[in-house]
Amino acid sequence: MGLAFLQPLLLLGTLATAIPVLIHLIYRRRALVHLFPAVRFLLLADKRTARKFRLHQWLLLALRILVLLLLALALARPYLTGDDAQATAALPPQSTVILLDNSLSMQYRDAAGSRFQRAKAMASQLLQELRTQDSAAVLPLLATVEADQPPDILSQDAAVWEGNLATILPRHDRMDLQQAFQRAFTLLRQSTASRRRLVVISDLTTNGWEEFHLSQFEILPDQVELYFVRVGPPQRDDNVLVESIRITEQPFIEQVPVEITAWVRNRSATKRRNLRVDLLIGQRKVGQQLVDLHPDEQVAVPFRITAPAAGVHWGEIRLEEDALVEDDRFYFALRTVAPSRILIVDGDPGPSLFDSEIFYLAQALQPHTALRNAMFYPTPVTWEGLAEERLSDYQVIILCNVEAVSPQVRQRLHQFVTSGGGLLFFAGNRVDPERYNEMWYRPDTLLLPTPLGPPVQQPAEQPQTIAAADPDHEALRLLTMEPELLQYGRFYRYIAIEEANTVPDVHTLLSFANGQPLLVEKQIGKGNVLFFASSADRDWTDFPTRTAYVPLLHGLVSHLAELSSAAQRPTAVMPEPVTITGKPEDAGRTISIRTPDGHKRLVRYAAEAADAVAPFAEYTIPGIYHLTVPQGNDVLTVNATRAESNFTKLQSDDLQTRLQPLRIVVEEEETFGQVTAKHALPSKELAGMLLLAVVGLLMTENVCANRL
Amino acid sequence: MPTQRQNYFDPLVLAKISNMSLRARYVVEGMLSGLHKSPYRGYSVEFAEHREYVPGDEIRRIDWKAYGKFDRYFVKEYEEETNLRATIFLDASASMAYSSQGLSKFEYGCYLAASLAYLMLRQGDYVGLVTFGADVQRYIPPRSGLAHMQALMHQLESTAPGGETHLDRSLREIAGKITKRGMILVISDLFDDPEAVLRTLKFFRHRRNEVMVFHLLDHDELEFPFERLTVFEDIEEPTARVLAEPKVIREAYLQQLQTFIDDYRQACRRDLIDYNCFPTTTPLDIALTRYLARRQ
Repeated sequence: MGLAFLQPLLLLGTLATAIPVLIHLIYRRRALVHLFPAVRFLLLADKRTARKFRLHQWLLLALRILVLLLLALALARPYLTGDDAQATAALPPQSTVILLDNSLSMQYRDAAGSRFQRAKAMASQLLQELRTQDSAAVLPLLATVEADQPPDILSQDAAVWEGNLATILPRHDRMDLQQAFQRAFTLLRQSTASRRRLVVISDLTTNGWEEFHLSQFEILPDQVELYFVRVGPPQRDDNVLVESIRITEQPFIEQVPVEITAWVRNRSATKRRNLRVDLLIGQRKVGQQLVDLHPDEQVAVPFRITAPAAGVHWGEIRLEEDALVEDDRFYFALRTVAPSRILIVDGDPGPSLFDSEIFYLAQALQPHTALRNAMFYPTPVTWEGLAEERLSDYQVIILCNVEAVSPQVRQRLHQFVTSGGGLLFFAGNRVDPERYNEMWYRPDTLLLPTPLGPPVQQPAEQPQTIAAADPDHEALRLLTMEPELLQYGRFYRYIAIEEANTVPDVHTLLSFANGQPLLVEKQIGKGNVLFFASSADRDWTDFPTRTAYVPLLHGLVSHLAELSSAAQRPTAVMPEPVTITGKPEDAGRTISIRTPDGHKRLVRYAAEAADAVAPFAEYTIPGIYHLTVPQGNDVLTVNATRAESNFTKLQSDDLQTRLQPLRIVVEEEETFGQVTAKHALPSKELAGMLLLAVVGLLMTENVCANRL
Repeated sequence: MPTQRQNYFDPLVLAKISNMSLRARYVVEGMLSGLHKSPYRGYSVEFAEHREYVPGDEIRRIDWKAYGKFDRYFVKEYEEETNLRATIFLDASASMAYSSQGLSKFEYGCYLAASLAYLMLRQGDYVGLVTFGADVQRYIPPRSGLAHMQALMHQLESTAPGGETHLDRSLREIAGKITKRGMILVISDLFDDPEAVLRTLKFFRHRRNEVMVFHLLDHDELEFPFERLTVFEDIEEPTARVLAEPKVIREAYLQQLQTFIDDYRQACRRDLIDYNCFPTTTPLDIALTRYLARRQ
């Protein structure tokens, strides 16, 4: 049995108990000062009477304070909750379904602690107030309903309710109110009880409610009472979050600067000053900034760091913690590689560097010679010196107008490519197609994508231009934004590659306006070979002097060196599934995933188009997920949903509109227990008794005061 | 008529008369006329000394023979044969300045002293005056003759109450100067250490003086008619303060005061000291009657 108040605000009236004390102090301060000759007798008299008088005064003070206290209590209309229970004891059985909000926003921690835990406590309290003849069920607002899941039931067993309640955990799923209400209504419709009640315990943020309306339900249960218990205040809560990040300068080459931009938003009604934004790589803080954010403002916070040593690295953008920690962090991961070593073989070295076949090529691959950090380390060598080089030191070898190589070198080159190296041919006047076909297009040392045709000479006034480029090829990714740049190059001579369309596994990257391929590719072993049908210098084309030359070469070399792996690792936002992509040969193989909280998950690659893919959505918590893939170790970063970061609240009117024609009662957390537990008004209030006591005390006070 | 008589001796009515001497004369003459008894019989005089004339002396007392010799006015001073040399001790401490009915205890004491002095001088007695507070302020030795009345009245009119009450100290100080036995009249509220005061009064009694005590108290002191919560601060000693609810403390206070008065009364009776306690509202003729009764 407990004490509750119908007008708790009027309890402020208890402050009036200070009035008698204040009156005493004021009266004492305003006491007359009288000069009197016989004070000696007063002092003697005071010694005799003081004790009795003070006792009397204290008694009077206590009586007066008690009168005011009881009066304030009476105005607040107290009643014993036990009386309420007795009043409802005779009512017919009732079915109650409690929908407990377990969305991410309920993880908000204010001064009273986690809202989710408070919501659970309130649900538990509601269940404890039920009688033995009542039935109940507790359902989460967010749940994945499996096909083989046992049906929901209304139980009269308190252990079942409590068990249901205990299994409800916070989730990151998208709010599906339709499904949750459907489950609750289905249960209530099945109930035989004459009184039915649906209680929704939620923070009542607007998230997920935008599209909800009760008119979406065809059948509603009869005579259902709908209660909403709001956890937290009805006003908008403060929250800041990292919405997303963007990382530029891919691929990530060690020691090369990388710019990471975090998009931070203030989802509060007030301005946020000096918000601390940290960038961590691994566990080490590498950047920090302070930002000011107006209400609902989004701000880009840039960080510029140096890419760490070759390997997989994970990091996070971390905000100064607020009441919702989950959206204060954004995890990401990236793979960095060492700069690629390129061997450029000059087949037609000139008397000067400018006259050399590789002049433009070397310039294009080293545009940052002024900078210490570069993506590529090109090493030029003449065709005679190729035999001296250890090919395994390089990721890519470019043969520029090389007339021929020895069989040993050819064998080594073949081994280089099949073991994963990249080879790029450039044509030129030293390239004899017939000899090339004989030398490179042979079964034992196949290194040409396709047999070469005869050289084609265009009239000077009618050069060929590039008319088509494969927009999906990663080697041309840099040019996808401005493909017209490719059209400016004029080609006066090239080697025809007529069989490009007939030879299997040959991919045409660039084509002339006449349909002839300019650049073709074929995978040989683990490596790739590209053939560029024109020269690398200005002998056959002016393309080396065009803007597109540099990004094209960068793209080709990056592709051959497989720099694309030096990119941002997959990032998922709960609960959206993520697709882990592997190589085609990975199809059917297993990926082992270790979650941040120590669980292990297994997923299998499935063949899809030219790739192997493994969809994954079994997230536990946001953080770093370590993957063991056929190629080694990788990282998947998983972030909390941002759909629950807005703490604008639904007001009672909005709710009522959405839940027409049912009448709803919205109870605030502060007054929880006074409405939902109130099936009828309290049968017996204590105010009358208190007022009676006040009258009695006033009479006593009067007698005491007059005895003075 | 009774009402007129009453008014005649009412101290408040007397206060309207500006001259102290006149007030005393009205009181005494009025009282004596009521007694129907002549006070001017059975007294003889004896020449004592010459004194230079001062304005106010009676012309008839100028010794013309002496004028003939010295060409200056002298008056003859006579020593009246009397059994009485009275010294009036008037308390002029701060506590005597208290008044609740328009007339302070000091003013009442002055009227009483003046009336007594006038009465005694008219009978040819010697009258001296001592005004005191913490110490003796002024001592006028006993003299006779109505001319002395002027000096006494002047002293009474020029004295303002102030300071603490140290009656015993003043009595002791003057005791050495009163060599001849006579009458000691003490007019005071007696707010001093009763033991010390009584010891000194007993000393006078021991030297065969007659001692009369006129104990003056204000109406407020006797009735304590206050109603509101009040901080009572001692007039003579401001550090002595007491916050009291009058309704609560009245009974105990009055009991203490009564004990104080009773102690004085019993002690005086034991030592044959005439003790009279008056509120300042008491008509002055009653006080004088007490004196005359004692004299007879």
